[in-house]
Amino acid sequence: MYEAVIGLEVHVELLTRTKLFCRCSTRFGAPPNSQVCPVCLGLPGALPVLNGEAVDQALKAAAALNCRINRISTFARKHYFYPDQPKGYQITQTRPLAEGGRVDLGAFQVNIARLHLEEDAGKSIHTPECTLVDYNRSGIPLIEIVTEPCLRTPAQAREFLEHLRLIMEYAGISDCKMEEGSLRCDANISLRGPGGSTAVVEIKNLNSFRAMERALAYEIRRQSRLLAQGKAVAAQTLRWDEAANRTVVMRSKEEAGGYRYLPEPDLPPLILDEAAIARACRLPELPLARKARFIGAYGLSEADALILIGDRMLADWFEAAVAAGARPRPAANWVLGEVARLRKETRHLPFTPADLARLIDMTERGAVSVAGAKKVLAVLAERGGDPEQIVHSLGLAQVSDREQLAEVARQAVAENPDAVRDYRSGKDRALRFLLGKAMKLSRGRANPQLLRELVLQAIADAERL
Amino acid sequence: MEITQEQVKKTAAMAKLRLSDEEIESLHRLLRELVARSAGISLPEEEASTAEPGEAAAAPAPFSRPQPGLRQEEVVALAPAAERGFIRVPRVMDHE
Ligand SMILES: [Zn+2]
Repeated sequence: MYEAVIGLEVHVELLTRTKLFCRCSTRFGAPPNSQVCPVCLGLPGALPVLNGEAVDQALKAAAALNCRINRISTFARKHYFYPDQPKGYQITQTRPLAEGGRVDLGAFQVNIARLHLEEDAGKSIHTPECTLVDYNRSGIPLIEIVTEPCLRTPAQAREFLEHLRLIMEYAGISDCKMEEGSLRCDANISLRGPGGSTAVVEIKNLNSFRAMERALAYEIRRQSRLLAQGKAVAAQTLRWDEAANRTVVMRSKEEAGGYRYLPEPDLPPLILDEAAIARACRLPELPLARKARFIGAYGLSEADALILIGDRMLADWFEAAVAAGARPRPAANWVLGEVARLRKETRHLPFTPADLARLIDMTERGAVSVAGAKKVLAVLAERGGDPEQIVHSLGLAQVSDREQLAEVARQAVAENPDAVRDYRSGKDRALRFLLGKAMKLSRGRANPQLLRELVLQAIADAERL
Repeated sequence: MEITQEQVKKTAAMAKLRLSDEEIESLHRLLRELVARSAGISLPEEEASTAEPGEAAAAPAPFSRPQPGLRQEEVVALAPAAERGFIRVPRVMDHE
């Protein structure tokens, strides 16, 4: 049997206001070629100046991935000819900013080989007649994160990448939107068996988590089949074709020499002082720490905590509702259920976590039923407002007054002696009938648990008479 | 390091240049001279290993607000062909 050996190369666009070597804006979605200058267009005579904000972001990423930060790192030119690369080379790092990191995912560990800074290329749009190039993306700061080939299954690769995205998002390093290309992933895969390993195949263009998982699974099947037929696996660069659901050959893998790496003469080495490194290591709370806190401090289940931390907006919502006085467990249920559903429907929520906290409090006091509270939330999602007022205007206020409901229960029992007799002779359906009558007498507003208790009480009392 | 004619041909192929035999001959001669002259020059990477913080360091630019660069009309005017603000080039295939 063969075992898959998978390593990932992940490119993450850093959240900075300006590009890596010039002061052009990094804003996404601007008209083509409107955020460019002589530096990022590679015009003759232009000189790059390193952006300190990008260095700080890359250092934060290195710290978040438990990497060893190199006090000295160097820039180099990686040459290749492609229309999206106006200079004919990409500025990258040969001695990387950081090395030797580790991400612990509980069931498995991922070792980070290196993390370095580099500039992004422009964006090409291919039409049947020509290729159109937009250089707005040219020079946007990226970090490349290279894992060791320590992943064993497509599912592990996906879990790691999803966790990496969360880390970047929590630390404010990148927005990691795969659909906008701010998180991109290539994978290396080979199979290892008793007779040795196959050649390493690189898969490019894995632009969604699902694409990555499926492309890797496809390659494992394809390579296993080749081995079973006694054929060799060629060292190739493949591209995942989402529509055809298979990998296709891009080009024979170029060896490192093909890029003719040369030291970048226009940029001196980056030398970091201890203060910059210490500053980078002050990270906000990262996803796994937050999960542990949700379980430890709020008593949430592992499963609920995991879903909450995976969606930062929901996790923030949950914490804000708790801060506003909601009990953690019901707050988690409401946020994962109704709030998540409403957000999906409306894309934006015109009510606050404090509104939710008040609504939860009302359900716990019995002032409104859970079903009623869901209606209130739907109204809040539509037009906002005050939860208590909405409860009243929709006539959802629940009667939990014992005296009032006891009277209703006695009336229902007195008016339906047949049903009471049926219930006593063991017909459970008769109780449901009596509860229905009592609920009707309360005009549907009775707290159901309390009403049930009081109807049973009224039946017992009637028996004694 | 000795530059061979094969290396010249390979580099030309990667740069998508079609060279005549005479051009290969003359580039080969030029490259050999260049490499011989630069052999004595030490590279920044070697200097870096002995550098101290503060000396010859790449002082990263302080955080800066974006500045306008070239206007779209200026950019497309630099290119041989353009379309709707994009630079237009011959179709590039993934498969080479
Ligand atoms: Zn620029």
